Order: sequence, then C-alpha cells, then structure tokens
Amino acid sequence: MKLNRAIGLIVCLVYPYLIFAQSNVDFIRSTGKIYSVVAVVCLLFLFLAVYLYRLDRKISDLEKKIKNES
Amino acid sequence: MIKGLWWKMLGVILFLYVCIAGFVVPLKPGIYNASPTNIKAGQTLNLSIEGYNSHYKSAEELTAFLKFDSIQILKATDIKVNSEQSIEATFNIPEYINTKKKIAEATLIVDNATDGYSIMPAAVFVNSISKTPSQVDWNTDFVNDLHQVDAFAFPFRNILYETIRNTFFHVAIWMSMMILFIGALYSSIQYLRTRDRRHDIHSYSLTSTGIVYGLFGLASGAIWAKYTWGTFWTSDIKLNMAAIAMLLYAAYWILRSSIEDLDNKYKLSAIYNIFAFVALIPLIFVIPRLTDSLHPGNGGNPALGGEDLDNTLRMVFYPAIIGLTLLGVWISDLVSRYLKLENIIQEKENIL
Amino acid sequence: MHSVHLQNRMNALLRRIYSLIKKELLLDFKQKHILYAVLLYMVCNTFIAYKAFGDIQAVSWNALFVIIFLFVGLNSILKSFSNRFNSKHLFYYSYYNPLELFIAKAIYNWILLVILSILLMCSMTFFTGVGIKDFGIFFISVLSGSLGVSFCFSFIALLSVRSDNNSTVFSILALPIVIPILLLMLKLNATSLRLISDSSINKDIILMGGIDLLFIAITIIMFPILWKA
Repeated sequence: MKLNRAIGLIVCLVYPYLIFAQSNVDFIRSTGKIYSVVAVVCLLFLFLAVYLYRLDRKISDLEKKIKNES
Repeated sequence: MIKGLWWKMLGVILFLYVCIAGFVVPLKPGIYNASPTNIKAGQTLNLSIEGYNSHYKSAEELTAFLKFDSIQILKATDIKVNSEQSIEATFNIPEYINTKKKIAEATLIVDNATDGYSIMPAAVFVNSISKTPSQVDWNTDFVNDLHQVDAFAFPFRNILYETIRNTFFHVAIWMSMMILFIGALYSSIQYLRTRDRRHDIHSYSLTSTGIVYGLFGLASGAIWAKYTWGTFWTSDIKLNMAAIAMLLYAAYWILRSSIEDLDNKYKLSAIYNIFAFVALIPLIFVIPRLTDSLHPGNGGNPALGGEDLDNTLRMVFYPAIIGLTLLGVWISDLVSRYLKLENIIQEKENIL
Repeated sequence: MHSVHLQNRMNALLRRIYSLIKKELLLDFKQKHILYAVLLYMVCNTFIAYKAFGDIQAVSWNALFVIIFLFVGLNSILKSFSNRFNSKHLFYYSYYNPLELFIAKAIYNWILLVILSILLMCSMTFFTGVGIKDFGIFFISVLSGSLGVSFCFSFIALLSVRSDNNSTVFSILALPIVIPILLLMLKLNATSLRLISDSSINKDIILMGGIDLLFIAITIIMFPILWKA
C-alpha cells in the first residue's frame, strides 16, 4: 500500500517533466517562470511543516512521559 | 510572548492575502523577446516582437521606438500585427548614429493605448556605423507620444518575469528572520538583566525559528537563482554571507547542547547570542554593500526601494514581512510553551 | 581640572595594562615550550602546505597564508587561556582588575599574532619564493586583521573555558565570527601581492578598522557579564 503511494507520488512529480521534455521550454520555465514561484511557496510550506512535525513529536514524547508518571 | 489571539489571526490573514494577491495580480505588459538582435547601419530592420500580457491586436495607437539615447530616437515606419502577443515592426536604421562605441545599443519601446508603454533594454545592436556625420530625422516629440497607464499590476522585468513574485517569500523571509533575531537579542539581554528562565526560553525558541527561516531563505534563493542566474549557488557575496550567518547561529545551537550545567548554559548562550548578532551586522549589512553583487541594492545594481520595488509590490511585500514575522512568533511561542512544560516536568523529576 | 584628572586616570590605566602585558611576556618566556610549540606548529603547517601543493602560485600563497594564520591564531590563543586558568594563577586574577587583565591579554595576543604572521610570511616566502610586493598594505592588513582576531578569539576562548573547557566548542564558535575579517585580509593581501589592483583599498581598510572597533567594543561590554558567570 505504501509502495503504491510512493510510486503515485513519483509519477505525479515526474509527469509534468515528461510532457515538457520534448518542447524547448521546460515545465518550470513555461509561462514566465511562474512555477519557480510555486516551487518556492511549496518549499516554504514544507519547511514549516517539517518544523511543526518535529515539535509535534517532541510534544507527543512529553505527553507519554506525563501519562507514565500519573 | 504576546497576549491574545488577534495577532495570530492577523498573521494568518496577512499570509493568506500575500499568497492570493501575490499570485492573482498580473504582471504589467512587457516585451518578452525581440529578434533579430544584430543589424548593420543603413539597412531596414524587420523586428519581430513577442509581447507578454500585451493586447497588440485590440489596442489602438500602436507604435514602436528604438531609443539610442535621449535625443536619437527612431520611430517604426510600419507595424504588422500578427496576434495579441506578436507584432512585426519595420525600422529604417540610419547610416550614421552619434555614439562613442563601435556598436550602438538601442532600447526597444512599444507603446499602445491599452497597455501603456513597455521597455526592453539592449534589444538591438547596430554595427558598422558610418563615420561621417549626416543629418538624420530623429523623432523629437517622443515623450508626448507615450501612453501612461496606471494598472494594478507588478512590474515586468526581463529574465525575472513572473519570478518577481518571489520577493514576497524570499526577501520577506530574510526580513522577518532579522526581526526574529532582534527579538532573540532583546530576550537575551533581558535574561542577562533579570536571570529569568522565561527570557532564555524565548530567546532560544525565537533563534531556532529564525534559523529555520534562514534555511528556507537560502533554499528559496537557490531555486530563484536557478531560474534567473542559471545555477543554484553562485559566488555572490550576499549569498555566502547569508550562509556564514547561518553557520554563526548553528554554532549557537551547538554551544547550547554542549554545556551540561543549566545556569551556565543559559548565561553563555545568551552572551554568545548577543555576540553573534553583533557579528551579523558587518556580514549582512556592511560587506555586501561594498562588493559587487547580483542582488539588487549592491555594487552597481539599483537599490531595493528604487525602481525595483514599486508601489504595487510594496502593497504585498510589507504585509508579507509582517505576516511571516507573526507566523514565526506564533511558532516560537509554541516551542517556548513546550520548553516551559518540559522544564516543569524535569523539576518534578528532580524533586522525586 | 576635570580633564586633567581624567587624563591622569587614563595614564594610570595605560601604565597598568602595559605592566600586565610585560608580565604576560615574562610568563611566556618562563614557559618557553609554549612559544616554541606554536612556532613549530606554524613551520610544520607551512612545510606540509608547500609539499602538498608542490608549486605554489601567488593566489594559493594568499589562501594558504590566511588559513595557516587562522589556525596558528586559534592554537596560540586557546593555549594562552587554557593553560593559565588553573588554580596556580588564580591569585593573579584576584589581585588585578579582570577587565584590565583581559585587555592586556588580548593586546599581548595581538602582538604575538602580528609577530607570528610576519614570521609566517617569511617562512612561506622562503619555501615558495612568492614574495610580498607592497609591504605597507601587508602590514596594515596583518595589524588590523590580528587586532580583531585576537580580541574575538580571546573572548570566545574565555567563553569556551567557562563552558567545561571544551576546545571543540571554541573552534566552532570562533571560526564563523572572524570570517568577515579573514575575507578582508584576503583582499588586502591580494592587493599587496599585486594580484588585483584595488581602487577602493581605503574603503576596505576603513571597513576592517570598523569591524575591529565593533569587536573590541562588544568584547569589552560583554566581558564583565561573562566574568561574573
């Protein structure tokens, strides 16, 4: 199940490149390089998400600790 | 750190506004491409011009100019419109152009009533100019001919194109990182003055969020550089100084984790934090301004705030700084609340 | 009347610092092995660099000079702080004003670094045959560079001695901070080697002085807080 998802994700990521591989302009450079801005915004989201995920895990540990004590 | 919910909501709303306005507001019409770029003097130039966001077919009073300097301006004798985004302009290049160099460089200006005028610098190069001066009929009432259209749109810049929108994320994140670091500096000073553990926690959480922001700044800058300058990493001074600044704050993190004794740890990290911020000032503000850089505002490049940051950009850029800072403060608030809880639990364990 | 009083106090302060510097020197000459160790470290580094590179041109000479200078500085300053901060010398610190002592130590380290870097230049020129062409700019670069580096390293060395005497912490903290000084030194040295002709050399020297002043000011402001820890 997990493998399927991973393959799906890879196809989603690579597919646009396959389409645009034939043309002179690559996917990110098409329509005035707008997709580089999209990439930057996605990256911002990714950074914040990873940071929050780490915080989340730390808080889970804390919760476990409290549960064990009581 | 700040009481209440309003500032969190404000941060979210501002960030949403930046995401929406940053993408929805169009670019001003501009010239995407013009060819051929080289022509000999005295010949007839059939210049095919590709526009961006332009309305050549539907617009009225379509004209095109080649500008060699403020007096020598050539008007197109004939314009053939192919589509909204494509025209073909005919220029009769004169035998003689008054220039000090061997090759005359011309700026292309396309003007119409709907889009206003758009400029492409260094569009055409004219070579083999005759050396004997001769009389040329230059277009003199050029400035009166141009249309000024005030649309709510971001400026069009060659090479940058749509990536000018990265200003709201890449540049704004550096600004908010600096604000977070200033907050951390303030908390460090407060800690040294009052010896209150709370200030140390605030300083630490603000610094870690600042580091995450800085790392994002580097990563987003790499993406932006790839699609404008051609490589992910250049030897550009501002880039490398930013990387060194990250090293400085990474050292802060290592210092904190290396000291066992708690009182010593808070104190030394507060001292180092102040020291690191002072070391940051020449790195980010002084040295890049003295050396040539690809970034705007350095070396010979125009400054941010001049032509590069026009009023439409400002209307999104300043909210972006405030929004990202508020989000950063929110996240650091969560981190510091976590640290406070951890502290309480540890103290309990020590008592037991 | 007031200004005369101030002048007298300044003179007394300078005299005290001067005598402290002299004491440092005497102490170092009593333990000659430390000085010799630093010298040997420097010459070994030069020799290894020379053998590793084979043929050294002016560009790599410049880079090697700054790198070896950096590591010699790291070594000598860390030694001067870690060796003397044990109980044997504690009376020495209770007897004098700690801030004056710190300034004296930093100035002593500065002089030591300047002498070491001139020796380094001589030994590198001896091995590689690449010589400095403009000695004025070279001395300015070495003097101003060592000043900032010595104050900065002295402060960080004290900080790392406080943090469980950890020398890894010292190099991690100290290296990124002095990078702007090293970059300016590289540029000034390149000018003195005639690698580049820099028209804005005055601006660079002023900038270097500014960074030095900034570091000296922040170390002197922060020192009392660090000392109380």
